[in-house]
Amino acid sequence: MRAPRMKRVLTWLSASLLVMALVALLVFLERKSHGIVPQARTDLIAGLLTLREINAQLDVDVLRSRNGLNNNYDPLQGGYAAAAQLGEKLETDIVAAGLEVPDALSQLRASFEQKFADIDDFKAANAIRLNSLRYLPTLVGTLEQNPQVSASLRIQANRVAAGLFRTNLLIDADASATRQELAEIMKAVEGLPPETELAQLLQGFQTHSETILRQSAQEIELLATLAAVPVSARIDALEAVLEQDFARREAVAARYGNFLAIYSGLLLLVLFYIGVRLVRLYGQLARINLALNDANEHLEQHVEERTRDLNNALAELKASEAHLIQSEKMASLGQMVAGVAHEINTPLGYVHGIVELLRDMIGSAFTPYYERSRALLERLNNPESAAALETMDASLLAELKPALDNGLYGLDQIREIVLNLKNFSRLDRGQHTLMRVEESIDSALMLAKNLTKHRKIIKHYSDTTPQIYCAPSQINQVMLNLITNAVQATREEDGTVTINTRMKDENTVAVKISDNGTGIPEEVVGKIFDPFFTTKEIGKGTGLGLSIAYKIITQHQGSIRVFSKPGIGTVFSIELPVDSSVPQQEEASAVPDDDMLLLEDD
Amino acid sequence: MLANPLEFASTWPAVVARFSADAQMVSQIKSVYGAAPSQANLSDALATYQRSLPEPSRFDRFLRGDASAITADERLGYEKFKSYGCVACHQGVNVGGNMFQRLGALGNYFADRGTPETRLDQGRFNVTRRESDRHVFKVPSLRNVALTAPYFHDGSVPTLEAAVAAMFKYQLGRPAPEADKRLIVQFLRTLTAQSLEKTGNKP
Ligand code: HEC
Ligand SMILES: Nc1ncnc2c1ncn2[C@@H]1O[C@H](COP(=O)(O)OP(=O)(O)OP(=O)(O)O)[C@@H](O)[C@H]1O
Ligand SMILES: [Mg+2]
Repeated sequence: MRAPRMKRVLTWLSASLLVMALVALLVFLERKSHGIVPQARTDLIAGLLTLREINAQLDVDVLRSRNGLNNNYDPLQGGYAAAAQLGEKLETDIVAAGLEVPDALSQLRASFEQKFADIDDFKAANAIRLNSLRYLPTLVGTLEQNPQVSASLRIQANRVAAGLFRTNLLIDADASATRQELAEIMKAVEGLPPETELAQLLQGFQTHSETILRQSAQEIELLATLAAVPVSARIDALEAVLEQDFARREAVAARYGNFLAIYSGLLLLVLFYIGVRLVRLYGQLARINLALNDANEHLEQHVEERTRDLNNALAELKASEAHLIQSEKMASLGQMVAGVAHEINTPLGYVHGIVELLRDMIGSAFTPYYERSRALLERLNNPESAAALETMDASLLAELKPALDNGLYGLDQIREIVLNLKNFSRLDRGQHTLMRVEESIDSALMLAKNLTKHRKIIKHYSDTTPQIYCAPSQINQVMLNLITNAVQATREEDGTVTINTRMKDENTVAVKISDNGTGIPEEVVGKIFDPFFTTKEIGKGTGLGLSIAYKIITQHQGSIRVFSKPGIGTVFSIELPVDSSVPQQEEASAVPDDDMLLLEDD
Repeated sequence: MLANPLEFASTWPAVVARFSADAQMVSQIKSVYGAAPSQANLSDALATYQRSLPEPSRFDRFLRGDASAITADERLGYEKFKSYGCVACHQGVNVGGNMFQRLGALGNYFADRGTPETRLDQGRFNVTRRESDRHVFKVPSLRNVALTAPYFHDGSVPTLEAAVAAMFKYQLGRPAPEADKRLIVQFLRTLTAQSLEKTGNKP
């Protein structure tokens, strides 16, 4: 009980594990066969492009700042933010594309950081230089207005200012001349007391000029550093790495794609095979189902048929058994009756002969005695006695003769009965001979004489019925039973049994036994030929009569049928072939219309 | 706020749809939020943007074209602020905050100060350890500067006037009339956010 369930569970478990493994492999291959999502790839390339743009824009903004073309450093600041943000976005994009984040990216970001730091330095230098440069004209103007300033100094200051402005316009301008001239101007300051306005003016001029020169140099240096920051190269490197990764990924994806194709092909084949098997199984199942359904539907019918068959067989068995018993009974009865008849017949012959002899002798045998007595008496001459003898003689004769005649009649009757008994119970039961049905009816009537005493028996015999080939004792039995039934169904007061015989056609003799008795109710008319069916009291009827009759008639290739109307009467109709050794057509016996007429007539 | 029909005559679904229709917007929003535009991430983006905007001051109103937002003197102060070159360092949207500069670009501030240098005085050097970053500080934003006394990295300068004077001397390296300095201070006061102006201690 437990083991099979365990086994089933295990089977299910392993089956579902197998299916899960197969599906997992499929999913795995499918995942692996994806190349880079095109969107991710374009996003990455676009990101790199934007980085290049930002980088270029930074360079441009640096140069614009250098030349004082930008109002402020916000554009540079914005570039930082954009580049930093893009760097992060690149990383998420790379991860999203399923690639490993390459070192090239962090290197690129480091280079950007470097660049930002350098730009910061540059901005610092640039802001101060530009401020000083902007202040320079004011300074020169103030110098020129100072009366203590000599013309040569004025010219020198102007030359220095021009040189400084040149350095602003031309990055690679040579500043050494300007430096020299500035140094010369400052020599003039040395002699002046530091608190004087001119000294302070010149001091400021120097400070700012030097600041411009210093910061300019620093800016140029920073520009070079900036140019050396390998942002562009790092972007190239990153792009190359990414392209390589893309290619590798595509190659791997293509390989997995091939695997996937082969694998799904195999899976399809397996599925197809399973499908075909399933279809076949379903076909079989459907057929079995159909058969089962059919069997189910017809089972009852089959059972009914079987039951009917069995019932029929049982009934038949009972019938034949009863028939056998009856036949045996009849056979032994017949034998006994025949024996008794035979035994009776011989003494009957003597008795008959003696009584006949007696009757015949009464006249002649007594005459001599009479004559001798009369002569004697006459001799004695006793006329009185003679007269008395005369009268005695006459009355004796007159009484004795008819008595003997009556006796003889009785003996003849006994002889007839014995003959009939012998006839009825012929030992040739099984043996067929020729006999007219009327003979059979008469013997039956004869045997039933006691029964028919109080009934009106009407016989309409045909003159033309031939002898038929039959088993006489059996036919007798049929007739006797039918007549008995008819009599039993009718009343003493008005009971009439009519027996007809006729030729139905040249081969068939028809016998009709009608009565005006109770009739047979419709619901039992179908059962009367069944063995043991009787409506009579127990002990009176066995219910075998009609079933035996049926059997006998059918054995004779004939037919027996009944027409009955309760309250009016019953007609039994028998048809027998003239020669029952020749097979007859069963259905030759259609219901003759006059049967019912006959019933109505009665 | 975008969805407020009184302000923008719009609804969130419409806004989301408008953003979704712009491929560049979608990719930007995706890069930040990792998802397609939605009410949640758009409203977050909006809030962030609003926070990044400086709180408007009278000066901002002036810049946007409201000439009456500042007085004539304050406006003059603005002109001085620009022409003297304060704007070279205190610049951009936040009037500063977008670069580093040496305190004492044109004079030795710490020597003149007379007090010993502290670690704090080393400025960005503390972070980068670059000699060139010694005494370098982030140029502070001058928004709300009138409210943030005392001044400078160490809070050693008590008044705005003193701070401006120091700026002239050490950052610009040039003399200026006291009147100009006062005008500039007046201008600096226009940078106070209007929401803070009432509570602010106006000297
Ligand atoms: C070379 C760059 C530079 C220039 C030009 C410059 N500043 Fe400054 N400013 C700075 C730096 C750096 C600081 C920060 C000093 C510190 O924190 O120690 C600063 C601080 C200030 C402060 C104090 C802010 C605070 O919150 O501590 C004020 C006010 C100020 N500057 C106003 C001006 C004015 C007005 C001008 C023009 C006259 C000007 N600055 C010019 C660089 C500069
Ligand atoms: N002429 C008839 N009129 C009315 N009913 C009849 C007639 N003939 C037969 N039946 C009915 O048919 C039944 C069966 O008849 P069947 O001759 O087989 O048996 P039975 O007469 O009852 O008994 P058994 O013949 O053995 O004495 C009778 O019991 C009776 O009900
Ligand atoms: Mg009977």
